[in-house]
Amino acid sequence: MRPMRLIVLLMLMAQTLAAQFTISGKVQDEKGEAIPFANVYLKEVFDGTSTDEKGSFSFNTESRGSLILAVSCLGFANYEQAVEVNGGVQVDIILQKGSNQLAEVVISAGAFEASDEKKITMLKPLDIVTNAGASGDVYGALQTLPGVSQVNDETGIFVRGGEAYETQTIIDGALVAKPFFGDTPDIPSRGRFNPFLFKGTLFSTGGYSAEYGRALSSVLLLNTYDIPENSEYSLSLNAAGIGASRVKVWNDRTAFLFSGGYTNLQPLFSLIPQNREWLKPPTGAGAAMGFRHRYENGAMLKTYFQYQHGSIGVAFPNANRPETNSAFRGNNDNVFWNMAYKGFLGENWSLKAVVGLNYDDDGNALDESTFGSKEWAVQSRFTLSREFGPVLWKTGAEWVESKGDYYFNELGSNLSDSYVAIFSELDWKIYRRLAARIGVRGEHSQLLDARNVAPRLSLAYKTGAKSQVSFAYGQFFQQPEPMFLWGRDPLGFEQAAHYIFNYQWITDDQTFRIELYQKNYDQLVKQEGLAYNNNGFGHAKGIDFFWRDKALLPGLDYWLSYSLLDAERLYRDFPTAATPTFTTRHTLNVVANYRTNVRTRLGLSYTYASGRPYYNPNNPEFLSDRTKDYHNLNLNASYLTSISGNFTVLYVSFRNPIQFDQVFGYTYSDDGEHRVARRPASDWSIFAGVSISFEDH
Amino acid sequence: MQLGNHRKSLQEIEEQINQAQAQSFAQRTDKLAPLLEKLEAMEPSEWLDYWKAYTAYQGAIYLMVMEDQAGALAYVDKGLAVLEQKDKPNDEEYALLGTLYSLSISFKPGEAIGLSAKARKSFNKALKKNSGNLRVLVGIGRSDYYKPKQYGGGKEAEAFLLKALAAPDQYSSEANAPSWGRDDAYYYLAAFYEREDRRDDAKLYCHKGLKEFPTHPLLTELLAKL
Repeated sequence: MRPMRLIVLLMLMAQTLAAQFTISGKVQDEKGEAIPFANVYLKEVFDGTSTDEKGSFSFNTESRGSLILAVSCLGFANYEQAVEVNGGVQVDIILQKGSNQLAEVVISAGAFEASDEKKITMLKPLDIVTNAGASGDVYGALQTLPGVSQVNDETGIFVRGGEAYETQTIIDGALVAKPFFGDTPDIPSRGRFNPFLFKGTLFSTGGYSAEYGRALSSVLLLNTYDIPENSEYSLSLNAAGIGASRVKVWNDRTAFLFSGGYTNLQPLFSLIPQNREWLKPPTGAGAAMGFRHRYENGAMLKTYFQYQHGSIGVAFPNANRPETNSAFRGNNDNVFWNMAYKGFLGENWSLKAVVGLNYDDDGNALDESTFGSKEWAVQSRFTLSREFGPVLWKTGAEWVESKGDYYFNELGSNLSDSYVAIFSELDWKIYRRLAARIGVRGEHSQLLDARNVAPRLSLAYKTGAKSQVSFAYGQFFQQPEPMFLWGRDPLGFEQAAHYIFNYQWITDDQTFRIELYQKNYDQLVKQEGLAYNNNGFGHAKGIDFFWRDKALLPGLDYWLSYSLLDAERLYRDFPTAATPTFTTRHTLNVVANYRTNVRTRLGLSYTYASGRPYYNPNNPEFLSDRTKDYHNLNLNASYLTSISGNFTVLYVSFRNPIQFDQVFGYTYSDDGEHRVARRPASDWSIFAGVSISFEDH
Repeated sequence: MQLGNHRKSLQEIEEQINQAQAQSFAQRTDKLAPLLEKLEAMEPSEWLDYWKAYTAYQGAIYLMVMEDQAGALAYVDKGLAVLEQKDKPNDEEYALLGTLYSLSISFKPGEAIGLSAKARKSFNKALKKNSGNLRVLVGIGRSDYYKPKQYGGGKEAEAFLLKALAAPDQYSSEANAPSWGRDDAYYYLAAFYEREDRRDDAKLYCHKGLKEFPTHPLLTELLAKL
């Protein structure tokens, strides 16, 4: 190269180099932690780079003047800053936690989801177990969500004007026929399952997927944890009993779980004044075993077996015999087993398959009468799904074979049913803002000799980065409760149509949700003389409101839920349409958790419910009387510590410490002369315990 | 290509393979088969098996685009046969093995589950040997990009592809060690962002990719869409 040309070239290169400015700096989070692999670039010109492991970045640009420096990183809100580029620029950036994506539109009408895996959910699994109103019971936590009436003298969840039997519990796809410990008059039972089993909870208060049926009002879908992180032993001791568990994990892919426990409420009841005479305070014993295996291709096999025995004896006032109490004694044995597989079928299909077994043996005595049941249910279900671009197609079938023997004194009856359902559903992301779910479910019951077709439709439209509106419609069918089928009256499916409109706004720290709904019941069981038919009907309509805020004060997380319910039915032995006893027109819940430091957590829950209808034979207007309004306060505290190097949790909770006077209803004597108030078993209670985990080294 | 001095004969082999593939597309004639024959005739040497398998990989891609599925599958099987018999594969060989298993899913959809697991196993072994290997990181990112969301896909692609771009082209100081894969990292990262509706991020990596690989057809096509 000639010297002159070389000089010109060098001058040109120098000019080029001189025209390039370096933009450098560091990207950190709010705690000062470096953020690696964040994209840092100048908008419009797209000069940029990603940060290194230390959060540092440096890139050159030929652009100059006033430019926008943009930063994006998964898990953080997008960041933009104006920079004046007339030379090298040094800029340090702090990113706020948040979503950098327009959250995908999701079908949300009717659904409350608790999940750690999904980003946008109302609740996290921990919220279930730390809820002061829950007392460690999944169903207790659901009581604080909108749409659930406060019915504290009956067992079950009463959703949007529906009876307890209208809600189905499903664990890893398997139906749980008897999710609650026995059924004692005027005393609600707890759920059978340990809330720590579940990584995900979806509580649908209506408009749910065609994958599920046999529930007029609601489904509770519980998904168990996969493989625990560590092998460990744990021991728990509390005011009601003792428990132990063992978890063994091999190669992060296989796990065995065992737990056992014994409860006896006698010591607790001897300390706390009781409103009941306990003939035998509730006692129970149970054991559970589980096995988990994750295959190399990511498929998962889970099986869980649980056996529980419980017994109870209680005397309660009898309005017909004010001078003497009635005596109730009950024994219950229950077995639940399921095996669920979630994996793949060929290249394009995913498969969920489950088999489940339920056995329940319930023997009771009320004064001189004896009654009870032995029920079996075997269920299998499979769901195949495949993506076709923006459409996920799900299809499958469900089969439930059930048998029950029932007796009342010398009278006996038995029922068996073979229920088959097929379903098909499209989840269609029409575009990023609009999604639809279109499904249909067909069901047949051999016992009823009836079939039905249940269409389902949900739509969701994203109105903003954090907000969306949803609509859901569906037809839902359910077999009548067994007690109406003993007489062999020709009954068909009961039916409900749901219409739900929902608006929600969710940020990382705050959630607002309002839902309007209308539920029209038809074909409900109606008693005419001594016979039953399907001429009953009714409706429930209302507004559910939910507000959650984690940003008000550091460490404070609270939510408010309010429900307005207008329900009326003409069914069963109702002489006229009326608001049923298991509804509350206004329900308000306040739930708060305050973490004072990493070790200590304080919780509070307050519930208000307007008075419930009760039957007064002296009032010609059927079910027009109301109990006094219901108030309840729960407080709890937990403290994390270490005993001999082992993780330990100490906890204590108080129910109704300021002793609100609570009346759930009244029972009248046959002549209407006397009545007995139905109250909680105790006016207040306290519960405390300790749980220790020993890591298996 | 000269036979005899094998170290010398493998010099610029990567460039030769890439050129052979480019010529194949330009002339619609398989130029990789004769190159593979030459490599197979060579005396064994340290990187020879790797480049045989890589030639087979490029041949499979060419025939796949030409819609010769049987020919493409034969190439994949050849590449796999070469690497599967290796006694102690190094990180690059494991990375290429994983890449070939991933590619073979296109031809054997019925064996997708097993092949996907084999691919991930190979990639994991490569990562254990060298966590900064660009081709391993691209391989994992690309597999995750193609994995359907319902099977948990799309969660790892961004992180692995960004890590790939931060990695050097070549880790080994040996002359015949591979250096390919960066263009793929740019393309799949931009395509991932485009799919996730992060259009500015997608544009950034299209622009950056095209600065380094100005004639890359897929990046050009993607940028035009944005």
